Amino acid sequence: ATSHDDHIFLPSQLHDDDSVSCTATDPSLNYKPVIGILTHPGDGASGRLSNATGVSYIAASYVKFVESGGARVIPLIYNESPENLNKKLDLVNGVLFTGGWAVSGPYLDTLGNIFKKALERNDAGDHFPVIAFNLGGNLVIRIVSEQTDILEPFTASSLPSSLVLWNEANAKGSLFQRFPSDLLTQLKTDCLVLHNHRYAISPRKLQYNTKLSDFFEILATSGDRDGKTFVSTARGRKYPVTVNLWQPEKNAFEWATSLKAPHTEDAIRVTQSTANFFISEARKSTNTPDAQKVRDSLIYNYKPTFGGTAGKGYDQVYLFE
Amino acid sequence: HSAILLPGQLARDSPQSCPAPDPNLYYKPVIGIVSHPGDGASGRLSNATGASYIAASYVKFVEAAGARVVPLIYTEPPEKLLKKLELVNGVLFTGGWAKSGLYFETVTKIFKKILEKNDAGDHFPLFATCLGFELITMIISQDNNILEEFSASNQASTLQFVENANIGESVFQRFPPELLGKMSTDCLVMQNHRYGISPGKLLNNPKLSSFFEILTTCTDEDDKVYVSTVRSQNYPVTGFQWHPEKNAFEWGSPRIPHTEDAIQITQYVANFLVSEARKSLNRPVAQELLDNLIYNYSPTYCGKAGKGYDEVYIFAQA
Repeated sequence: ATSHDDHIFLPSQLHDDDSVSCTATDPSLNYKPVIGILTHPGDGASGRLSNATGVSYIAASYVKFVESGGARVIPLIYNESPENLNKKLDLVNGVLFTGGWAVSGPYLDTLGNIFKKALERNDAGDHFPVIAFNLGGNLVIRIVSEQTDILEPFTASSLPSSLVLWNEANAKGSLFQRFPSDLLTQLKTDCLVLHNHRYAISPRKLQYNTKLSDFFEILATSGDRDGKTFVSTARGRKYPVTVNLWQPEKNAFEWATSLKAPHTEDAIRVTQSTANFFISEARKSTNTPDAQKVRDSLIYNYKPTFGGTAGKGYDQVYLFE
Repeated sequence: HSAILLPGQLARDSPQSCPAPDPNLYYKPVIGIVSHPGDGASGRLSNATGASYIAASYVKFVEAAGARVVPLIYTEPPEKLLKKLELVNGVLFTGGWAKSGLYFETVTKIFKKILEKNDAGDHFPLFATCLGFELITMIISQDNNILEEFSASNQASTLQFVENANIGESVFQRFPPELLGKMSTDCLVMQNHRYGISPGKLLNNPKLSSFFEILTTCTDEDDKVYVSTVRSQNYPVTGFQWHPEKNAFEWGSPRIPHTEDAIQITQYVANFLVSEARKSLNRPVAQELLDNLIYNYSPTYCGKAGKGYDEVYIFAQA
């Protein structure tokens, strides 16, 4: 133990430190990224929270996922007018499509329009990423394939699993390149991701569909409860589009017991590494919207509702009526 | 493109069993955050007597690392606060300004309870940020005048790691070496305080130097050195003069660093706190916990004009 009577200075304290100047940040990146999240029909709680006609929701876990990666969120309300939606799209640096169940109607139309707009933005030179989870991923696959019946049934509800990483996962700019190497190792053996879907596409079917294989490369697959393999992560070859059938946001942010989401520290790191990947892509966007217009449109203008008071379903949802 | 299946895909994956996670750890950790006097917006949002707030960035910080939050409302009766402490696996003291009165008394009681829990064998971590760190410095030293003034408001800074500091068991244990290197050269952490303690004063105080080990120091705008990160030698207590939560979650000041490295600092620090909470033996009753979670409260948008906290939770007496 040190003597408490001595007045001990650390060597570096004996003379005044010079002030340290800050190393400059990369000027080509946008350090105030904003992500649009598309709302989904309903209230996320089978009508328990709101039975208003036209209500839509975003599970708060998606908002927290984006915010934890260092971005803010603007809700893209699926049944708003196209003019309003386009104005909001001009305020964001990337788009997230959530899970859900709606596979037709205005929701699909809106998602399709936003997806096409995202590709156009990239074609015009603005790096504009899309990440699509679960249903969102399935809808993007349907849109790209131009086949409404391309998906296949799989037994993957409430299914924690590991991932089989393909060689393409090593590619520069892929989602998994953002994962620390020790976490990648765990991802292959431990059940660190949660699947919660009844449809997906097998690798063979994706590879045999010209439109899909031209657009996507497979990064990871998983097996369902019957041992059938489905595509778990795919990314665009020429566009910053990532499709994930697993749901990284639930590991950190959803606690309903029946969900079976993994909550170990490594599982939390999967949430964070995925968020870091997506937001690092959004920082490459050259869109710099008006700051006050952004603040007026942020999710902060809405209040989340506690949906999980009985320990079931989403813990919190944002409702839009 | 030819449709080529890789050899590994020709065989079907068999359904896998999941390796069991470490049974010694608790995978549903909950953190108590102590509310602070006022509304966080100089009365613009609520001038109710007895109003208190938690900046939402602290809640997001904890939740991002895989825990839930119970607010510990400082104006609640001691019995109620103690009951809430039974629902959590760790505590966070936030920044702010209040250094006296009921708030200081409440923080003191909670701090003592935390040490008692640890002495009784339940690993129960405390994270104290900015004012929180200043308060535990006052409590441990038993000297309400021990703090010194520093010019460190609204300033991004580096962290200077103390030679021979034991970072292997500290909050920095999870940081990749390259990020640790950047933290001493790039301004990746946010300072927003007018008080602190110099290394000399901490080391010269027997109570403080027997409780804390200095991990990092920083220099203020007048080139004065202050302690910026500490860990306890004998308790799972970590003190920060800086604000790990702001990098990812507060946008009201253009000085706050938001690079990917800065965001990772928020995540690594939060991961450490929650990993410490997973070591807690406490297992709260599920429904009682649900009834007390922060989910029962709504955040208020504070930063619509682009200043101050973005969102705050306000707790007003009924």
